[in-house]
Amino acid sequence: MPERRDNWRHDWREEAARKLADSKLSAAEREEISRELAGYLDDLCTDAPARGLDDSAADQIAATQSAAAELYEDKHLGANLYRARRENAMNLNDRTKQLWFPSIAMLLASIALLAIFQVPGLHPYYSTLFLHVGPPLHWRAILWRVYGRTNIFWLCFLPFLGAAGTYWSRRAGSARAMQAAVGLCPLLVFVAMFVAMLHSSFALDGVPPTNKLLTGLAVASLRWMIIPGAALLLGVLPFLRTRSAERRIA
Amino acid sequence: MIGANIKRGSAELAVLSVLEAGPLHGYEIARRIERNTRGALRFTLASLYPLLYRMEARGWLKAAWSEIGDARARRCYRLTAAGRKKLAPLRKEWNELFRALGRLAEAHHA
Repeated sequence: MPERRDNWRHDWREEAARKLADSKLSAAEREEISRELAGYLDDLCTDAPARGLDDSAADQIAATQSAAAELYEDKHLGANLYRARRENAMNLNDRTKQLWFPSIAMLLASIALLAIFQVPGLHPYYSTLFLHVGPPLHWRAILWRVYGRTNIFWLCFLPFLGAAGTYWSRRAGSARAMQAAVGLCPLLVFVAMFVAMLHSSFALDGVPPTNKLLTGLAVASLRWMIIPGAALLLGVLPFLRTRSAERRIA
Repeated sequence: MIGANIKRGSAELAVLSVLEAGPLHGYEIARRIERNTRGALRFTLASLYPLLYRMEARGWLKAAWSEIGDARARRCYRLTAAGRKKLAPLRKEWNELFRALGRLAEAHHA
């Protein structure tokens, strides 16, 4: 700790306050920061002998000028300190930026899109026309149950949502597993809902696992998990493949 | 002398490392870093305080006013649990980087 020498003292507090006067810092912040910066500059001056300056008037002036140079080195000191102080409001912690924000945004976007397509009744009539002339009858029945009630318009948007989530998480500097989790986030919720539904049907309500029920569950899993999952994966994979390619080059 | 970009990137590691031993105020942080790196890393007021405030805002450091020496008040910084948690992976990353650069330099000489 520098030895205290009162003859090195200078009113740094007032000078620091003047330096910060134009910043957006509040009066209380300016006061506290000025006090802190003054302490630093005070220590810098009293520590001058450790840097080879002695008690002579010339060296005291040199030490004061050196400290003043540090205070005035950055023209935007006040703005930088203001931004740094508010970083918490703008920059949340890494996990929030990389996982929670993009995941929640993708999930909400997915739900909103589904609602938007459902409300005006954009049901996939055209996408199921092939069923009238295509496969054998029993396959048509299964495919109708899968496609006839799945919103194809919504499915078409899922790869873009998966890509957007993965890209967002990647921009925030996350690992590949987290990027994939964000991209597939809407699916994770469907899986959770599906498991809860199964649990409710079999365990709580005591519904016997009949063939009809099992077929219904298989169709539901196709409609709400496997097909949307594949659609999301279509958007996620290119980003993960790019990262793998980058790693190979590195 | 180490270049500006590397310095900027390593600044957080430097601050976290010197605070690992215990709480310090701003000037002492700068002085310890300079001494421990034999002058390779040197902070000025303008580079140190925005960094300290940023790290404080991120929750890696916690600051409190305390009396030091002959009744002088200084704002002393100490590592939080989050800061300690951040230090280990940061160290690992920088060690990996320097090892990689070392290998690259050796390969260049070979």
